Amino acid sequence: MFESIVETLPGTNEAEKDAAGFYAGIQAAARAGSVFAIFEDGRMAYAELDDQLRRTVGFLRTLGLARQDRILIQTQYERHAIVLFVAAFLEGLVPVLLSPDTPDDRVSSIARHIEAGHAFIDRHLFLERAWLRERPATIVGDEAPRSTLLERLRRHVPGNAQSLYPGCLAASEALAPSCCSAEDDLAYILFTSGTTADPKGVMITHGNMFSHLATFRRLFGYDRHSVLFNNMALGHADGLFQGPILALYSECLLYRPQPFEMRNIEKMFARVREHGVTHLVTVPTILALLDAYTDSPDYFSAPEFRYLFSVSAKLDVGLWQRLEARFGKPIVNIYGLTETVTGGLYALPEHERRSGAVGIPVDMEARIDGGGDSGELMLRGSAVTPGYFRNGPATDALFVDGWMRTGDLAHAYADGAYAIIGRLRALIMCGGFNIHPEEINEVLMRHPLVVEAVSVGIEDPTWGELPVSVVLVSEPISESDLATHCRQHLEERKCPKRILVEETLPRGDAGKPQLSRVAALVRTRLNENRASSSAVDAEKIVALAATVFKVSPETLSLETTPENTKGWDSFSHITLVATAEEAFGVKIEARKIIAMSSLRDLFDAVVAARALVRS
Amino acid sequence: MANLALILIGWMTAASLSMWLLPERFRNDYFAAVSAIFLFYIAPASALWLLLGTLLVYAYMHGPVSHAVGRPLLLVALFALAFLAGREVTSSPDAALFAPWGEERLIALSGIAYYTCRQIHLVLDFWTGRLPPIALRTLLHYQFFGPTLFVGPIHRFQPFAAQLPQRRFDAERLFQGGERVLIGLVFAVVIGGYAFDYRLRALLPESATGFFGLWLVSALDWIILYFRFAGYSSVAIGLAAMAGLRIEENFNLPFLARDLADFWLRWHMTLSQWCRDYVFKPVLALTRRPVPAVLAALIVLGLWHELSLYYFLWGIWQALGIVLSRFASRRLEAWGVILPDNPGAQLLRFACIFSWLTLAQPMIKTIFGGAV
Repeated sequence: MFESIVETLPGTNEAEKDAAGFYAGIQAAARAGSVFAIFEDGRMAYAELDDQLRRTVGFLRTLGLARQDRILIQTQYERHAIVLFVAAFLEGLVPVLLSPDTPDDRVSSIARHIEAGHAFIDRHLFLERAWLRERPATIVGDEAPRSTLLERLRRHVPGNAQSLYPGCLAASEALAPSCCSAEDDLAYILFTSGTTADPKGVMITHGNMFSHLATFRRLFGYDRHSVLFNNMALGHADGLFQGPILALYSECLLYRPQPFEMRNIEKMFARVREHGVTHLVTVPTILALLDAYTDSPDYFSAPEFRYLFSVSAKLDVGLWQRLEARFGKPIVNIYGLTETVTGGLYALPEHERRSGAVGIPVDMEARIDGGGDSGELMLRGSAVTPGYFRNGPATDALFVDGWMRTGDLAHAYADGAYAIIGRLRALIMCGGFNIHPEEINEVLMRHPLVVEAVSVGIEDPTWGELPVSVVLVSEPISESDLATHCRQHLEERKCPKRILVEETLPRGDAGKPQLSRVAALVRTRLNENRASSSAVDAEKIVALAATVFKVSPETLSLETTPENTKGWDSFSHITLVATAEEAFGVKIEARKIIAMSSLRDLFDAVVAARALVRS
Repeated sequence: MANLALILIGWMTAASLSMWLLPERFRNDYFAAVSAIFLFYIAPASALWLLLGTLLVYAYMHGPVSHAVGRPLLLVALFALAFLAGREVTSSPDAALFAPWGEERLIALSGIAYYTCRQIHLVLDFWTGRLPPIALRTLLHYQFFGPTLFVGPIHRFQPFAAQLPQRRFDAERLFQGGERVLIGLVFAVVIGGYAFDYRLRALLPESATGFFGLWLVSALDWIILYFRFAGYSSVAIGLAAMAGLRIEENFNLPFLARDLADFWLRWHMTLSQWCRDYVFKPVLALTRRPVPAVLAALIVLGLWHELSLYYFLWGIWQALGIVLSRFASRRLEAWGVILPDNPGAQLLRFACIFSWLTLAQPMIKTIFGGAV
């Protein structure tokens, strides 16, 4: 069945573009007066983009760089990041885009590793980084910054800073990019894995990128009328490739509102209709929140809306089916790695929704290592990276006989679909982001009192997994001190949610900590904490509700509402409140009982009542 | 013989189409203004009271912060009293729609039964922390929403406001809305009005006054009410869809109800949910006892239809039904009696529900006779 679908798709050679075609598309869209992007702070037309691109090319030519020199870009200004990135790769340079919150020591280690020919960095980052003073760099920031006196004095320090981008563009010549790259030339490098001590930059060639772009356009019908909603981080493959790069390739509109948060989730999805979105890219965590906290069946009902994509992490089958039933639109799961540009396996709408199935390979060969039904998933194809930048050992470990190891354990179905059943890499997948435990461990080990650190992922219904660390210490230290230390040296989302101080670690024969047993230890500790504290906890609320409604506790969570619970009618509502009041020794205000519409509301009301009792 | 419903449909369709000619930022204002002009024209007293009430809600929301029950209670009492007083001039919630054009007495305070519920919903949701303070402009968009002004549904603020920014021209929705309006008219006018009320009622004996005669009349009244009311609700929902907004459903296949309590969550849902959230739950939260809460909710539901001894007793009868049916299902469950899930059993369930509903009229009239 799946083979037939693939066969009916048009061939890959049709309308494939290279760098020259990519730029010609931008110019055509500029002539047509199209809008390139809607950012939180306003629109950007293709004509404006083209002008900035050409001037940036003119500016880059004055820097005396050679072909394939690396350009480091770290800025919170998304429109500048996109222009710099695109100008660099069209010009035959290699942009390396880092998230604005990448910690200083990691940026400096990457800059050294890639021997950055030039860096474009935000002002506040620039001023804090001594290492930048030895390198050619440009400060990114809007004109006429409101600088303090101190800053103005310090501004004399970075003597190597050329000027202010994009202010410097006014004086530079507008030149067409050379677009002369060969297929094996690098288009960009992404540092989403590896540690500070051992950076792993995934190299993506022009061949990788353009063949993958052609696959996406063919599979999902991107064209100049598409409106692509993607607000994921630009420093990640899914935010970058399935965002600005794909939009520019398709000459369509990119909609990049602010990132999703709990409080704006409804508002953000409401904009899908408003902007006539046709393709929306997001992660399972956001879909889980959409499922739990919103109830409109209407977000994707506009006739032009075509695809809702789930990327970056495993999509729960129950969630998948619930949302497809609720919205009447297919959710397409895309499986891939930074090492495959972004995709590889796709669960198209025609496919059966099977537990764990992530899709079938398209423009990609897949097989199970060793040839059985189950084992490590291996991929080969035009979108697969040639390896990690200047990291021979890591590159060698990535390939076996020309096939790339994914590090995921898969099951192959007879019809060509694959299910992911486990993971070989030690990796924590939290809310669509991959967190490498070694990265957390490395930071913890840097603390003078930490002797050893191990980090594991603990299952969580909303986030997929949450990082938790276990440390051995030489002298007693509090968890909050360690947490502060982590926040100083790690991106916020990579910080462990709990740091447990232990006497010993479960170890294997070779003396190495055994991750599965460490995870079990963490679960036990977290449960002990819950049982011993008299604090109000979610599990207890759920257990009480289960007795009141006469259902099994597994069917309930804090997100349970009267609408999705059989036993929760207007009568049992008061029994539930009374039971909770008795169990926690509190009295809940009448206005809170009236407003209560989920177990979370009850939980919050009990917590608030508790605080009142204490004070 | 133009009736209000047809004029409303014409006016709202024109508003729904013309609003797209305006710049986006004025569309919601325009639609509210067009609705307000219509209400001012046919029922100026009602429009003024709605405007004044909205200003009071606005003042309450933006006044000093307090969790005390005083001010919300005062506002709720004011709205409720005005509504009951308005009953003197507007005989039933739906009178306006069934009235021939020009019978001002019937339409003087038209819409009050619905917008009073919306005002109380805003006040109590704000008091319980489910709503932040709302801008006056948005409050007016909500309250002066033509499609639901005269016959409900009692739509809630939150889903309504969430849709306002995404309102846009959508041909598919426009046609779906139009279709819904037509289906609603067929339900209300052809089936409910002509077939049942005009043709079938004529077949009843003139002197249907005995217990069973009254029961038969009562059953017919319920059926007519269903078609008329579900029909006009469809018209309102369809008009809202034409204006680019999705409004709550008012009926959810009531004949599939599993017991009386379930019936009331499927019949005129926006009103019964309103009674649940703003009468039942507050009484329950204050007294901690379900029976008085059910009683209060159903009495309010009854009096909403008409301020009379008959509807007071009607409310008690329906509350008694819910309490008894809950007691019975508890007993049956304890004895291990489980009704199967097939059409036959559902027919039996609904026969019981329908009998109880329709028995209200003959029971009350027989027991209290001329007193009601």
